Amino acid sequence: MLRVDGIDLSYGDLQALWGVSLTVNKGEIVALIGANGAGKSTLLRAITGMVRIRKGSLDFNGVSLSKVPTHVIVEAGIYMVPEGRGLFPGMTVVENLEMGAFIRRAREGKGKNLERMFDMFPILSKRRNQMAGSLSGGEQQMLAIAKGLMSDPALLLIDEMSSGLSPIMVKQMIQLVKRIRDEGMSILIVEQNVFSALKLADRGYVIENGRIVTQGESASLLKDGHIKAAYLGIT
Amino acid sequence: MLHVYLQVLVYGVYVGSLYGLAAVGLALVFGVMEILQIAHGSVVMLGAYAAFWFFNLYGIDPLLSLPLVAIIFFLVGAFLYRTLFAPTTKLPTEVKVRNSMLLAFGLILVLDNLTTIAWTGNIRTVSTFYQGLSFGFLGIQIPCVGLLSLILAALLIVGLHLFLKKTYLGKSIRATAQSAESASFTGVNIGRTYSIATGIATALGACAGALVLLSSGVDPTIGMDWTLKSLLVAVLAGTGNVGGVFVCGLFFGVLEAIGSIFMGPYKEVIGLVIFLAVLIWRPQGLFSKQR
Ligand SMILES: Nc1ncnc2c1ncn2[C@@H]1O[C@H](COP(=O)(O)OP(=O)(O)OP(=O)(O)O)[C@@H](O)[C@H]1O
Ligand SMILES: [Mg+2]
Repeated sequence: MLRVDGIDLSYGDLQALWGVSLTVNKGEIVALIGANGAGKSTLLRAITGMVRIRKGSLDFNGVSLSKVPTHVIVEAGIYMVPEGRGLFPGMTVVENLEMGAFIRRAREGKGKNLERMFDMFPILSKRRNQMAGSLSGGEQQMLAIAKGLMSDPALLLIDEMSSGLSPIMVKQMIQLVKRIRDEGMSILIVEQNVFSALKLADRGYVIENGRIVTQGESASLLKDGHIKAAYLGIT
Repeated sequence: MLHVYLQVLVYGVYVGSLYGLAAVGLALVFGVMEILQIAHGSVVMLGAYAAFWFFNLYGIDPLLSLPLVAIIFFLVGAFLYRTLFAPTTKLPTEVKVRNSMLLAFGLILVLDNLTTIAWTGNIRTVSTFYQGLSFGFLGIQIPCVGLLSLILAALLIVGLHLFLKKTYLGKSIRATAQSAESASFTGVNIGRTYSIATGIATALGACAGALVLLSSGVDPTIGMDWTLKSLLVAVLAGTGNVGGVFVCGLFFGVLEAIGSIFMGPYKEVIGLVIFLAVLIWRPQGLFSKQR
């Protein structure tokens, strides 16, 4: 469904991605792991058209994304929960969720989806008229995900899913991601906690210095000696 | 004596409603894109000319041509954004504010001078049956034009407020103001949103101009004064709150009117002194919640 093929990307003179390829299939959870500065966010931003690639190709369901502006990519069904959550702090919880359903395709189902989100996240229902900026970190993360789900995406990209969340909240998030996958959505997650990311995902990619160095089924990555040593601290 | 004060108050509220209406446009553009559109006063001036020509050539009353003027200047604003300001939006904030201000300054020179060349420096006025009318109330005279201006300005402001709060397009403008990047992640076309916001701001400025025409006429030099007033009011209020900007405009109008009793020609000083005081005491503006 999403095919990233041999992309190069530079910020000025600094090349951040080198021939990166990755695929996400329908109904799949894929984890992207790597150290700080490896290029994970850059790859997600390239997929959503926020930064332009120099070489290679990006396509989604057979349609090329390489020259398409972000808002069209969102219309096409890719939604990204960015690092820093991408909320509108001076707008209420409900308004943030409504903005999640901004694209035409999602507007019809807005009312129903809003109820669904409030079922899924009762705390957001309680805070519905509060400014998003006044929510706790965990509540903001829930709102960020709920806002993404409001757009009925086919592919959800989540950067730093568990940042700022308590262990209990992380568990809940993982349950949630599984649940939305079971509804047929594909998910690409970037996650600091490599162990739980690989436990959750079907497949994983390891990125180092802008290059994909390892990829495969999560189960086999968890047994991989290099990953154990570099990311799991197991020797 | 009380009558004099009340009379001055009435006058102040009337002028202030125009200050508020003009300032809202400037505040909107700055609040949404951090573009300092200091040619906004020239827009007010051109709006007045547009209403004048509709009256002069086609006999359309300025109050009736208001929707036409609004539509024309909406398009003018969107065009100005696309051709002039769009390239600055990608710059970092400080550079953006400075460069947009310089561009707008150039625009002032072009617009004001072209206006003088095309339509001479003469003052242009219209005369309608209601301009002379006024009615007495508790011993003070309320001019008909003043009341109409206040009502129309207030309606436009309430309309803008509801638009920003209730409609998808309005919400997307507010969202874009908070974070253009986050808004584009929800599928908002930022360039289009900026064009629309500039269009609305320009239309509001031109509407203010049409009302100015009714009260005091227009000549090519009034632009700078309206830019200054709009800027003072917008900075006083902060840019986050449409209603706040309008209230500040009223406040400013009243203050200036009262000042004119005591200080005569030096009334302008009052505004500037208050302006400084607010900057020192509440640099984010009187009505701003964040930023
Ligand atoms: N806007 C930018 N301009 C210049 N260089 C950038 C920019 N954004 C990222 N970089 C550089 O690109 C490289 C990859 O950054 P990126 O944000 O993709 O890393 P990451 O894997 O997401 O890291 P983290 O885990 O810390 O979020 C880094 O070396 C970073 O310094
Ligand atoms: Mg990152």
